Amino acid sequence: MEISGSLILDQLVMGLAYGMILALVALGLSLIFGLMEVINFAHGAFYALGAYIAFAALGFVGNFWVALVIGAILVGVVGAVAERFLVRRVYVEPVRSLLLMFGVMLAILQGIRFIWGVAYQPFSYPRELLFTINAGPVSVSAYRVFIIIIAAAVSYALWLFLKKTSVGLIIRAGIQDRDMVRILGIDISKIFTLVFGLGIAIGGFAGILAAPMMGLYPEVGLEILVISFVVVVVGGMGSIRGSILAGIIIGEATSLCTLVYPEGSYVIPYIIMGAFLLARPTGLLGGKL
Amino acid sequence: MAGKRVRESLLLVIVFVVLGVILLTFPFILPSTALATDILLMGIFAMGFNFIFGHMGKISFGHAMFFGLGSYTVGFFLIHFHMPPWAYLFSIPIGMLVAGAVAYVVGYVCLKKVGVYWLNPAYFALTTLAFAQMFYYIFFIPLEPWSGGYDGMWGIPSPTIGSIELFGVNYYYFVLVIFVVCVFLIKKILDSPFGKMLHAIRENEERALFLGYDAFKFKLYAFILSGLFGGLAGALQTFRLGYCGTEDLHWALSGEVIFMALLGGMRIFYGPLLGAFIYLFFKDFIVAYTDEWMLFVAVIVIVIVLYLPEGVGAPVGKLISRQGKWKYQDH
Amino acid sequence: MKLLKTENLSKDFAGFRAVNEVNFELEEGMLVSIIGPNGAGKTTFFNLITGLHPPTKGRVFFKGEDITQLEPYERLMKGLSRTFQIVNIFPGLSVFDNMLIAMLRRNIKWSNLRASFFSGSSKGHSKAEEGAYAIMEEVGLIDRKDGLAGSLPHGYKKRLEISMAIASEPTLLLLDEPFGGLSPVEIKEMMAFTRKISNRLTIVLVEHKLDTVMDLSQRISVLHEGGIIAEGKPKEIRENGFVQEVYLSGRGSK
Repeated sequence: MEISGSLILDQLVMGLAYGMILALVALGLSLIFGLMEVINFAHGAFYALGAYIAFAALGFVGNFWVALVIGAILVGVVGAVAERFLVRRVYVEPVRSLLLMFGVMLAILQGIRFIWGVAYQPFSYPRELLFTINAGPVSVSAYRVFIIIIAAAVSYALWLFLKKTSVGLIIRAGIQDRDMVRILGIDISKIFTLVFGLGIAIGGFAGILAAPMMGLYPEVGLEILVISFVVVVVGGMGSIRGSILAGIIIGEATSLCTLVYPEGSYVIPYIIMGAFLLARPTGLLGGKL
Repeated sequence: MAGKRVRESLLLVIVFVVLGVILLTFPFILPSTALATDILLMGIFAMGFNFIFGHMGKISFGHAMFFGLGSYTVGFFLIHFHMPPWAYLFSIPIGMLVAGAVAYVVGYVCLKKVGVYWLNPAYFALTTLAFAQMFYYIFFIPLEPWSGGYDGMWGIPSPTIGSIELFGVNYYYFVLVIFVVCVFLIKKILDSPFGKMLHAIRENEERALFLGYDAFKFKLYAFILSGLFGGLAGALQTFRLGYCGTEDLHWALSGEVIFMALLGGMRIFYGPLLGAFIYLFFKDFIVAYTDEWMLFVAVIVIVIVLYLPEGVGAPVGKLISRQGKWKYQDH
Repeated sequence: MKLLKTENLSKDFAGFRAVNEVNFELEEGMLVSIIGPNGAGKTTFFNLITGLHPPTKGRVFFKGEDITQLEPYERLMKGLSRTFQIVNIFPGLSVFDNMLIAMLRRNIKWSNLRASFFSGSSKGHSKAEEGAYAIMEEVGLIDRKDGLAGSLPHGYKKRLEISMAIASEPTLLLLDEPFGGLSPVEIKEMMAFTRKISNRLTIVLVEHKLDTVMDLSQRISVLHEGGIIAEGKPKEIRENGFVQEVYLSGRGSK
């Protein structure tokens, strides 16, 4: 098969876009784990839920951008509610929290199937971005470039939030030492709800972004969950830069693999994960396990 | 004193006899022979899984990979390797070995200790899930010419012993024999020093380490054991269905086996078996009425995790042994 | 040959030196203590000897052999055992099971498949059970043997902890603050027990109260900010001005 330069470039951009989506999901996971030490097994389900909510909103308002915002915010609220009533009961017990999130995942999955059915739903691209950017010999889909830019922007915004705001400071302190923050008189439970909701919102946001590109079906959540966990292992739990770096690596690896050995592209993330588990389990930039 | 012991032994005998009768007539008291066979082989799967789950305290979300490897091994051997009919049954132990070998590799990678930090159990849960997904995709796509991809492998013939074709009720009794042997083995292993170590690791891995035990080895062996039983269950199912497919590697199956162990009581020896029975029985039932039985599962998981951590088996066990403690206490 | 010897043993944690070039030696049969204010690095020192952390620098020798690279479980098999400051038992198991697990390590041939996977009642297993009963009798836990270890009162938990540590018949026993949280009566009992077992093994005690270990130890080493600042007979240490300063300026308790 002839591999032309523009094909490679196309895959590179695709890989980067896919990688940024993965990075966003991994970010949400990392954030929640960092503060609450809960691995949100339902993260993928929320990702899908966000996309479906946006899909419904799209049906109502017909505007991608509005749907994007509504979807992200609403799913974040659902996440916050779930935290408030379910998740917070099992914080210090990793086994129970895993099982609980598993149940939540099933419930969300079932809910989605019930409301929207099991079939693949087409999610339309925003009309404004349905063009290709041509720069000399190069031509890339504008939407993919958009994903890359907005995902980077969101990550940066998150970083700013954590580093420069007082709430962000409390969150970072909480990640270091939960009990200290409590002792300082801060109601950490509200912060937990906020962080959980935020993590879910970012995940849902990623889900909506990805939907036109990767299609919308109920199981999309689990697939992204597993790969994003691979990203977390490779990048290091708790590291924003690690998530982005690892996301890009996995995204590109998958994408470029489709050029040489398409069947292997499904498998390559797991091989990379296996290698890291053996050689460098803390990941590229991670610390907290 | 002696009277209590006699009563306990009598109780045990009665329970065994009742169970024996039930098991021997299972295909006839349940709606279908298929259900009866499935309960037995899923029981094997769930009890094997419980070595690492209830007894060692680690959650693997990827156990379907062992089931699927066992199941596909049988398919491959019968369809692609053209074995003679008398050798069909040999594909079962081979399937177990394949699953066991993979368990060794995956277990090694996922269970390694990182310096002084004991990995959060979720790491193990998700890395095992990841590898299971990897196998799912491997059999789905690259191996499609041999595995049948989405359609799976059909037309797998029933095994024969001599002139008896193991099909339907015959096959049930065949599986029953294997089942009894497995249950016996599992009980023996759980009562052994190895079994005690699993509990020790669950309760305090660090302490076990400082008492001189190489915890990693124990975890790995337990994982391999659970993989062997998983492969066995998968292989048994392929002969029952005459078919194997990607559902045997799907994460939903991993979830089901977790659910069965959780439901029946993960700390009890027979818990997963009870869970398998309840789950499969009701699934058979409910599927006739609605497609949405997964919602029930979801709700029950949440309820059990929040309110009933011992599952259903503990109250049932207590019911049976009203007087004194019957040996189900194995904490 | 010294039973235990550390050579320039050091440990850094994220820019902070917890243990600083410690040279520590011990002959067989001694009962010594290491004292120091909280945060002096006593537990970290134990962690280095028992293999919980790898040292940043230096080596550990046990019975003349360099054990610096060995895993904790390998060190136990060489005869090095420890207790923990925060009681470290198997809470969800019965007291008897706790003891049994401690005894099984040495009494079963684990490489033998039958013995480890099947025999719940081989000869080794019976020996382990007998040994467990014997120790439980000795420390007064026999009446509570079927109770859940996690629900024992604190004093009994400490007894269980130390019983488990001596189950493997170690040559060297490291006791990390064995008197922590005990009532005066319990402290007396624990001291008597420690004296009793010191006949059959070498003991290093870590404590932060000088009084408790005065009568017990043949030699006391004082650890401060990761380094040994004084070492000698208990009387000498008590009269050492620098030691007094370090303690009084820190916490006001001798």
